[in-house]
Amino acid sequence: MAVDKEMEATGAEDAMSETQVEISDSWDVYGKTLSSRFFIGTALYPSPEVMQQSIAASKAEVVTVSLRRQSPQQQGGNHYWELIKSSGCELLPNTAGCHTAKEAVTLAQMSRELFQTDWIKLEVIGDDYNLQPDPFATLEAAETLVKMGFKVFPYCTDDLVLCQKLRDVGCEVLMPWGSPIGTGLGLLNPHALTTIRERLPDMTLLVDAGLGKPSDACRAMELGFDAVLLNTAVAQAHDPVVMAEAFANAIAAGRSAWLSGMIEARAAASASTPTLGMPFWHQN
Amino acid sequence: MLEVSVNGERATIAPAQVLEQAMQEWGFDPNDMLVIAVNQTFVPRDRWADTEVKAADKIDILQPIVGG
Repeated sequence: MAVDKEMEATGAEDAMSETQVEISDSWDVYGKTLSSRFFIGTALYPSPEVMQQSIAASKAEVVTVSLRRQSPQQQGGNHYWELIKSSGCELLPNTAGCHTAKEAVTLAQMSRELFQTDWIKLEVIGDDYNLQPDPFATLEAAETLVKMGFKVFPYCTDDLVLCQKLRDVGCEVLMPWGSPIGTGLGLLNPHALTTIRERLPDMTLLVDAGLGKPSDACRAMELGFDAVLLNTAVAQAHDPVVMAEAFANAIAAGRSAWLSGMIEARAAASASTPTLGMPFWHQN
Repeated sequence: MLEVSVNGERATIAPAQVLEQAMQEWGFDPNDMLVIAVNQTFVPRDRWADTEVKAADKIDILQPIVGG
């Protein structure tokens, strides 16, 4: 069989590892082994059922959630939360809406008790228009939260020095933005993301925020990022369930591409079809 | 009666009430999935029964919601 000959020629282990890429590309984050590289948000869906179906179609194993004031009249009306619980996904609560390190730390403590997890997506916003992370408050909060035993997933800008400092205070994961939250602008600064990947090779990296199309997620994975986090691009698509599946496929494609060694782009053309034996030469 | 704020709204409570009692007076069920902060400081569930509500306290009672 052709496959057997190939295995003899190239080495059984190499051929085996090719087919096993799909099966065993699992990864660890803060002690949890995951096989999906898609973290998906739970907000902005047209209905709880569409949210549930989208999460299932995404095959994500981690979903983001949050916490807000409850009015007594709302008791028992939290259908979204019931469906999130039944998804079987790992919860990644966020500190969305916080503007200071103190707010974020307090909200994280509340989240830890409410959701029974040390995982926290740290979001401290510095500007109410572009919703960018406040780098200074994020770093301050991250340092405090790590000391309190939290497993911090900091939403940050694509600044290398900020990323290094977040690593230095104990974050094992970084989540630099692709573009501002909800814009769908994709990866605005792939050079910066590539720099972070190259200079922090041992960190777990996710692109979080601003992804719009599946090709954006594919690109992020082709840059060598470990996973992506997105919400709006799925939840506000015309058909969120099909879009969730499209993103899942794109993330898998980008991951396979990264693992299989893409060709380098080059300036000069280079024919792929052999020139030897070209008919009609020197006959005109 | 003490004047406090609960989730940004004005509320009142009799003096020397602990959180666990006060929240029920305000319509919250301690058995629900809720967390509480008083004056931006987290109050763990196991302290609800011995944390007294004081005048002008700003109390936040939060529940799980969707998020991105």
